[in-house]
Amino acid sequence: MSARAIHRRLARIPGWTMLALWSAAVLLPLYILVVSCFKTTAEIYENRLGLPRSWSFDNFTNAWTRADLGQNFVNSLIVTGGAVVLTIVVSALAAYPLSRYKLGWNGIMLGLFLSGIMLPIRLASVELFTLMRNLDLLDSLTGLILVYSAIRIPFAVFIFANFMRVLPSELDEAARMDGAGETRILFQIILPMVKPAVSIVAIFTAIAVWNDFFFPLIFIFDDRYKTVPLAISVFVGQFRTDWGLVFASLAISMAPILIMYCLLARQIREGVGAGGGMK
Amino acid sequence: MQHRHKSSMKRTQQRMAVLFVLPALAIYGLFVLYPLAMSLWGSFFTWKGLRMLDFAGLSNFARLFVFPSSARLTGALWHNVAWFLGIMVFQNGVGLLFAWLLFLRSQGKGRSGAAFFQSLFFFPAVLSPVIVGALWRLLLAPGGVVEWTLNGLGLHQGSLTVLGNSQTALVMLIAVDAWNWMGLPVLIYTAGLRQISGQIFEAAKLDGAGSGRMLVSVALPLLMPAIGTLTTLSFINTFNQFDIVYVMQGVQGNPSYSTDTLVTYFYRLAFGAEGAVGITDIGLALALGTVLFLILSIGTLLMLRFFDRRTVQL
Amino acid sequence: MKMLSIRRRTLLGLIGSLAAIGAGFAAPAPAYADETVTLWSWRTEDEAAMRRIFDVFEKETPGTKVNIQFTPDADYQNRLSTALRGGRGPDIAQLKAYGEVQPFVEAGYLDALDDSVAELKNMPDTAVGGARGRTDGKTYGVPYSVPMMGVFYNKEIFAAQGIEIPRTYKDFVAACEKLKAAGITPIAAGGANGSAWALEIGVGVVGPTVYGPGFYDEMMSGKATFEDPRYVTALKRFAELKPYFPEGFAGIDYTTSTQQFINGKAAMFLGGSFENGSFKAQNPKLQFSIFSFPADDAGARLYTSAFSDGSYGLVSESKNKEAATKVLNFMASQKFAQLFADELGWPPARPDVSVKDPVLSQMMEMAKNSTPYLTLVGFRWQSPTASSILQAEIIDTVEGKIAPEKLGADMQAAVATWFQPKQ
Repeated sequence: MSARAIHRRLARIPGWTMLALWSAAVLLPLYILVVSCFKTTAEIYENRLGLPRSWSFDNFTNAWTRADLGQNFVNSLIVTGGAVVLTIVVSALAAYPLSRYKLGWNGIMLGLFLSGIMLPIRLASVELFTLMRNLDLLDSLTGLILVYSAIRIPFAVFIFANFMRVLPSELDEAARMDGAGETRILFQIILPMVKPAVSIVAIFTAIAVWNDFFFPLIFIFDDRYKTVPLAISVFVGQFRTDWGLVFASLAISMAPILIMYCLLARQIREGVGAGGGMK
Repeated sequence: MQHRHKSSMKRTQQRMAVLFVLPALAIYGLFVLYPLAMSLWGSFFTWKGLRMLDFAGLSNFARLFVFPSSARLTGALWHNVAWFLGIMVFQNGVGLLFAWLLFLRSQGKGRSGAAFFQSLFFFPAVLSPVIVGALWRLLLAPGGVVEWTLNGLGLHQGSLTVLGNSQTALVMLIAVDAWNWMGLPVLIYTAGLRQISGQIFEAAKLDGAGSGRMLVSVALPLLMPAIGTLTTLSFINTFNQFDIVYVMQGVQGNPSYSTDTLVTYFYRLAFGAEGAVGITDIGLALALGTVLFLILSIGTLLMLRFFDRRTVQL
Repeated sequence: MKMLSIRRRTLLGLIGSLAAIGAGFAAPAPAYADETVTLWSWRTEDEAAMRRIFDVFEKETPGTKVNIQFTPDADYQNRLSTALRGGRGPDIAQLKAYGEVQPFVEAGYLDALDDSVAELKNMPDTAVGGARGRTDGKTYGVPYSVPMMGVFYNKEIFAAQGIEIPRTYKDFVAACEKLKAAGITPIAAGGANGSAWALEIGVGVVGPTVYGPGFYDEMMSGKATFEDPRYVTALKRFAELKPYFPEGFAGIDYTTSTQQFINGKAAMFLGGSFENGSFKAQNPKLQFSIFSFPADDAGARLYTSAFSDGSYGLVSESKNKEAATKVLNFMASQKFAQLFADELGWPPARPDVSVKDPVLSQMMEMAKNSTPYLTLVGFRWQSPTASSILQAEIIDTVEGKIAPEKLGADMQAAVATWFQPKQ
């Protein structure tokens, strides 16, 4: 090995060290999160870093049965799934003409949607509540789906428009010549071309909706329609000093999102990168 | 004939466009724009408890800028600015460095190593703020893991009280936020770097440029769109910052309001706080909301324009 | 045109079917055979005990059921006020006291109970005072507890170290020194991560022994302010305890500090009587009791801060007022007070109960010499409250970064923007 090659390898060591350090910074807290699920409160305070004394699943089974999470899981899945589908469908519909037709009002309309990305909707929670009551959408999963979609639409339209804009115009023109309708062009030709956009929108919407407990808190009163984060927050309040139980319940509530992340890791990497670098 | 066909197609397109945009616009308009507009309108009225009373002109805004609100407002505004700058350096700056390191290491060989780091670094972003907050509270507490590590390395002695110290608490929250979202700049910058043609880097290498100079003088100008997107996103997110403060330091942004932000201040005015439960000042809250809305819109517009001008066309 | 209508139909169909999917999950009206009274509470910790108390009620009152719903403290107020404003509140709501209940009273969301709940007349004024409307003087809730404050102490540690209950402040400091020398944290205290209300309670424990029982009235009439040397001395005395607080005090939160006391790592805890039940529940073996914080003078009569914790009010828009009034009458009864004391170990709103728990009986004895909890009863009426400033700056005051004089002045400047002394 030449001296220069050795030098080049040595020069890479600080870089690897930095990457390794940050990996540790990410992994260590996650390790703590995992082992804490298996500890009692006293154990967590005494032995924060070590492995648990026993790998018992008591905290998990306790959390699941005491918080009675079954129905909440079904509700959360319905709300998250509903919001993801609705957001993707209506945002793709809107982004298609706005990014690919010459309408004269594309810019204004996109700006209107874009402004929604930065507006803190919590400012309007009281007005929103009154509206939901008047529409009879309190205590309803439909109501949650509509609100979440409304909040996520700006981001979705923005991402879809960015991805659709750069597709070659021959695509839809050729299809149009063949007599395909606009709806078909969008759903059968354009949308499959922007799969990364679909996965970013799906994932970010799913994360935000699954984790949110603010809107269920103010819109859901009946236990039968509570979502997981809302049920967990009550549970955490009830057992706030039982850290092991609290961590186990948090881990349960995160499980679906973690599974989704592991399955879709590649799409997320590519989608997020491509979506962000574009203008 | 050709012309008539074109104009009829234009008309169809207009009709189609309206039809296609309508569902999204209806949902967004009804559940976001309408309630927000109603709320902003309320900032011009006097409120008693939860009831809107009389038109008050700009008097809510005037109250916002005098004692006792002025100190909270300027404090929170400064914390938001510091947060934004901190994120630009700790998250987007360090993220660029990570992306560059991964980019250098992924050339030639397969990308699997880089992909692993990318996925790992992005992972905290899927955790809910409640988990991130609870976790870091536990780690940063006296006797916690961070104290144990720092003391073990000889970098610190005694109890670590960074979250209860009004001089360090804000920096800690910014660091937690950067930890949470570090994956975003890493993913965006690596994607941006891969779009740059390899020939450009080869040419620079032939000129004898080291990897540091290559990053600064070759890659950076070409990454302008990515930098622009990240800066704008960070600006919007930091000025909406609420969750991390709420979970880690309470809605007062303690100690001594050192972690207070514009949105936590808004929240206290609109919903009350521990030590003032339900005691609200909705007129003042909505005035603050309107100011926040102005800061965000003007800031975002300026940023988009700034980066638009600096984008290098490939 | 034909194409368009097909497309339109597809689109409408799509939206329609989505709406239909959603509508399938909409709430049907709940159908109960009995009359069900919905009650909202923020005491998630007390869920099991509250359930047992209302089981007794349901057994005695056939045809009326109580559905208790809990929301954590931090989110409760937000949920209640949006719900009441939107006309979707419960039948009965747990309410905070004094200034913190006024927004609901003034907005007309609550019914006055003076006529419908006769037992209110048999409750002491310290309890009912917290539920009174500022302008009309009517009572808008049935109070449930009059907490007081003191020094919880671990009896085993005190015995092992040969420490008696201190009679003077000097004795107290000496006891702390002795404990510290033995390697035991003398006082568990912490208010980090947004739990500084616990330190405000600490000031409430120490305060009355310095400024005395008449100080509250002087403050109310405007004769004294938070800049008064007596109040500043009280703040100073609390801050002086820092050497006896745990290692890393500034970074310790309320929950951690309770754990230190519960697990026998710390000998004392400055707290409110509501800790009694939860201490016991978390460590049934813990031998503890409570004493009043001592004054400089051994012969001085010791006063404790007391306040009405809150009440249960009748929501005006309730469609179930008759049944709800039955429930509220139960909650005002001697029977409820007895169950409440037995199940939760808090001092109930009415003192005519027979107390089995020695800690509770000690607390009720101490409460006979009480003065209103100054920052809550007197100054939690409008924003900015005295409490919000105290909670914000107390950690830095204990840490020596903010002088007690400055804290007092900041509190005074804040309340001066709205406080009107009573003539």
